[in-house]
Amino acid sequence: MTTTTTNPAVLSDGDKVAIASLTQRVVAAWAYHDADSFADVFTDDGTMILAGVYLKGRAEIRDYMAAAFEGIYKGTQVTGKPIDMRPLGDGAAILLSQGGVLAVGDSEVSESEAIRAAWVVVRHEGGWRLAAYQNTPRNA
Amino acid sequence: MTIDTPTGVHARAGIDAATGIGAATGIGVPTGKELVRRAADLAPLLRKHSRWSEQNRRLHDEVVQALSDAGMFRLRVPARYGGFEVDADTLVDVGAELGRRDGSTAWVTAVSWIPGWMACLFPDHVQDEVFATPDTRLCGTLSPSATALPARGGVVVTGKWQFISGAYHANWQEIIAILVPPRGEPYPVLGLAPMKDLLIVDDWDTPVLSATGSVSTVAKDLFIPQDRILPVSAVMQGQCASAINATAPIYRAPLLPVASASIIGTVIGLARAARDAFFRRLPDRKITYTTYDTQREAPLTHLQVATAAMKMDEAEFHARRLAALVDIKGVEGSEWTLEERARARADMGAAVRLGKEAVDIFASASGGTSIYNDQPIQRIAREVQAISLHALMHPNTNSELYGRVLCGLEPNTEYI
Repeated sequence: MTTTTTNPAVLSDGDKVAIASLTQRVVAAWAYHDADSFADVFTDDGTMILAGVYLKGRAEIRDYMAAAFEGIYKGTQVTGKPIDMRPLGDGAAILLSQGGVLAVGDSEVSESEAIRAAWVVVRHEGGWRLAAYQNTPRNA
Repeated sequence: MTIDTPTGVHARAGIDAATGIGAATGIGVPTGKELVRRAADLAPLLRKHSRWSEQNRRLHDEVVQALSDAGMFRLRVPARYGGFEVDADTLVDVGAELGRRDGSTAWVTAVSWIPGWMACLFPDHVQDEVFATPDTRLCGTLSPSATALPARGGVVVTGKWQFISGAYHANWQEIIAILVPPRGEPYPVLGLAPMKDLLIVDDWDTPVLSATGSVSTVAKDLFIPQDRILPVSAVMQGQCASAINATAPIYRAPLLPVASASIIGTVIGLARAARDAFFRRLPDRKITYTTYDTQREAPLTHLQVATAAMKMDEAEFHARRLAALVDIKGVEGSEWTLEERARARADMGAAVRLGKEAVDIFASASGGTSIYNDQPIQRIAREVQAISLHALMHPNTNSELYGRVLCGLEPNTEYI
């Protein structure tokens, strides 16, 4: 393997597990329908882009999810598994995942709900936070 | 049907009863035979609630209470907490008797023996807490689908575990998470969490083993003190953090053979249940649209029942060999070779395969009238099919693993 001079950062195995665990934090926050925990995954000025939704800052994300957990997402679960991860320089990385919202009674994400997502993550006080999240339907 | 008596190693419970050690706890320690009788005595109650449990996707509270009252959750609990410390052969006996009466009940009970045993590997003061009441029930997992991050005095765990049989009635869950240490490589750890600290997600919606209530559980930023965390590798190797249990035969064994011996009785019992159901109906059954007035006289039936009966014997051979290995090596305190570990899983897989084949023969010979919901054999056939799909119980996976090791290759799993 060759190392590039433009991107010397390497993710340790600990970093990889910690970054991947952000998906588990979202899954857990979602299961509890806990908008605060969901928003806490993000940086203070983190952004979230979903179809028809653009949110900036943890407060906006929290308020949106609090309403969604009482509305469109009520009773649902979410699932997401990493499919790719790369360092973007020191203290930053990109995580790609696939998953989606599980409707009540679904054990697998439906064709219409399946998404792929990009997570731009940054190192924060020894851990990792989500700076930007965006997803797109898996199926055209 | 006769009850199979334990062979080879004697149940520790029996020894304790004989020497009166059990009496010192103030609670009589029952023999293996007595425990089998108690399991059999539960049959009417299990029948009564079977449909309710299926429809409500969890065991009825009265069933769990009766199991507790019968001591079924004490089988692997240390004697100093009022437990019975029975050996693996007794687990096969009791699991089989429960399985013969009700598959879901047997599954939940047998599954609880595994995390219950794991709890006995934790430091003694942790066990004091877990077994503060002797009928403590544990549920658990072998899937590391959570992350543990270091925190002052312990770790903070976040994640979700699927297939947590018995979660509704458990006091504690044994969890597995990948620990990310400040320095060094991440590694999986075992932890103990009070159920009140976990969220149950009611996602158990199956047409089979529905009554096991095998829901998902979730931990969200859950603090677990350092004492309630153990490296999974230690448990896989049979290393014990308990000073008191470290020399006890039943607690010095690697996890997978112990887990295999704990669960396999359920399959043996399901095959017995299928045999019971078949022979109960045999005298009155014709072979429809043929000249056979009774199925009992058809040579095909003779071939089927003989084949199934022999498969049951073969299944039991593998279950007993597995349990005997666990028990003997526990008494000896000897190291497990890789081949022995692989064979333990192969024995479990073979018992599942043969048990399922026996059930399938009885089910296939039971006619169209056997598919009504009130007929046990259709349910038994679905249950043994579902169990055979378990990632650690699948006959093919276990055979392949054993074969790999016999060929001198490394095992392709850590679950050995």
